[in-house]
Amino acid sequence: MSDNQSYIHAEHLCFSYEGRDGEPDEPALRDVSLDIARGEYVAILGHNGSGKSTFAKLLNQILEATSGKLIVGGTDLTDSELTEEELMRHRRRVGMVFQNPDNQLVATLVEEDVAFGPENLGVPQPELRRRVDEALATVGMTEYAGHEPHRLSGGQKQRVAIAGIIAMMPECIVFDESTAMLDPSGRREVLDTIRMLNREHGITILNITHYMNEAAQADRVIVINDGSILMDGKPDEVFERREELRAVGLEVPQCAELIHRLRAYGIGLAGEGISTPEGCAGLICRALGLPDAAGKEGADAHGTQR
Amino acid sequence: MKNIAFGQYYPADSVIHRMDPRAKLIVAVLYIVCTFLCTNALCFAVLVLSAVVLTLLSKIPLRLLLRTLRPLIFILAFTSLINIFFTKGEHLLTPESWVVKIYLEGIWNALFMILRITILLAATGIFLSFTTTPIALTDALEQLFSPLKKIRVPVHEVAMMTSIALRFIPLLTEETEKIMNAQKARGADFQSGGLIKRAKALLPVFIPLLSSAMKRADELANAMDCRCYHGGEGRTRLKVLHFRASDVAAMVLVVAFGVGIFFLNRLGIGYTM
Repeated sequence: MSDNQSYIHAEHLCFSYEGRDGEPDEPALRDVSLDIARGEYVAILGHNGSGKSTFAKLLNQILEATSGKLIVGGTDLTDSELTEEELMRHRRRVGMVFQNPDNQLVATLVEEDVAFGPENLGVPQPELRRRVDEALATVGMTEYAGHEPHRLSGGQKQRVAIAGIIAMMPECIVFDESTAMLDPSGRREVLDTIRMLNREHGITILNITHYMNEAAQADRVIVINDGSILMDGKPDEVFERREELRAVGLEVPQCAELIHRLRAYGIGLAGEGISTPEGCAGLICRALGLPDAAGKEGADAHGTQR
Repeated sequence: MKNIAFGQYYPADSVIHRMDPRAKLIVAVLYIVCTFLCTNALCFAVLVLSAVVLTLLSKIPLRLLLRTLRPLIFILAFTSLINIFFTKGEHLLTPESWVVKIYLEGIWNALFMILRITILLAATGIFLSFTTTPIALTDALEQLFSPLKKIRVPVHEVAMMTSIALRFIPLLTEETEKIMNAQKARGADFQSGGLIKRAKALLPVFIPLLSSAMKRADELANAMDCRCYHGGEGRTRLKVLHFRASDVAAMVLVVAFGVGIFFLNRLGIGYTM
């Protein structure tokens, strides 16, 4: 590891898909350099075709970088001498949850699907049973252990997929647009699970998404456009730059949009907090001369509602 | 559509349902061997009795079992007619002058044939299709045939493919319906016309279905890779099958039954084939 602090370290990373004629296509990733620390919760934003999913696939060696350096959790994925065992050890530590919940569940019963990863790793009984039960409890799907996956809702299926990753005891989980096919309640279920995994289990999270409200929940937002990093910072910082985001086809969250419009009317709304409704409420309260506590209360109420 | 049932599994709580699937497979095979051992009337009487007892034990409704015979009615009729008309024996039933001669032996043979096929089917139904889920059966086959891995038979791979196929049947059924509805909405007609016309109408259903199945397969392969799948080597199992005393007892019982049939044959009571 070049830097003890960073869990994911990318240096001048490039990737091109192979075109129809065998020649490399337009690069999907150009010269991406970034560092992500252990335990961070990072959202990667970008519109379709921006290269964000390509980046995710590189992290697990589903795709191999064309050039550059990529070190994840101490494993150099761009090392040409990476062995099969090293890759397997790496994949255990960096789990991946995909977009379509149906296409990533392997077994015909929920608990057997959760067991699939640890089974592959050769985890013996009774440890295996314990891991499956714990993983199902973590995502709140214990009562569905004996169900068939195709009878579950989208959010539930995605939680089962997450449990399948957790049972491998990963250090990092990459969510590749895992909420894109879910309805709002399913999205809420998955997002709550993601946050809990990050806060309570210290798992490094990379959430690749094009939903702004989702990105606002992360500690850090990286915006990718046309294969390179456009912005990298706290959600508040990123959503301050509304015009730039617009220029690349992205919209800021509605609450941030409201603040931006109010500012356009000349209302002084300086300060941080435009990425979440609670923060925005606080900003507006301050501008109106109301005690900030009003915003806090609202935040608490929002935080406890499910 | 979500309630599509795989195969013919009939959920119930019976002695046979609770048996280890491997034991069920073994018992089914041995029992089928028994049906072939039978050659005289007494044996067949005992066999029919045992089949009745098994049906009662399995708690499967009789009409369900009989339904499995429906596609075989033609074969049953055909074999019995052949047996009736072409078996030569000593007891002629028809007058000497008739061109077609029917012997008593022919009738007996036809009856034995019908009983044998019926019981054979009933036994597979009772031990396997009605009382064992396809996935349990796959597991059982994988474990029973696992010694063949030594001679490079891809036992694990075949079992894995079967279980994935089972997992995707409801998904693809649902998808077929969606595609058909989409094509209907654009004026496709799947109902009218002759066989060829209808088959042609299904082409715009199969192509998108195939392409989506390919895409699913690709994504599933990625997901399996990410979950460290690398074949059956060094894999552990969440559910390990265990033979219980009752499973062993069932196997001993069926062997004893076979031996009994063997000696009953020797007694040669009643008509012998």
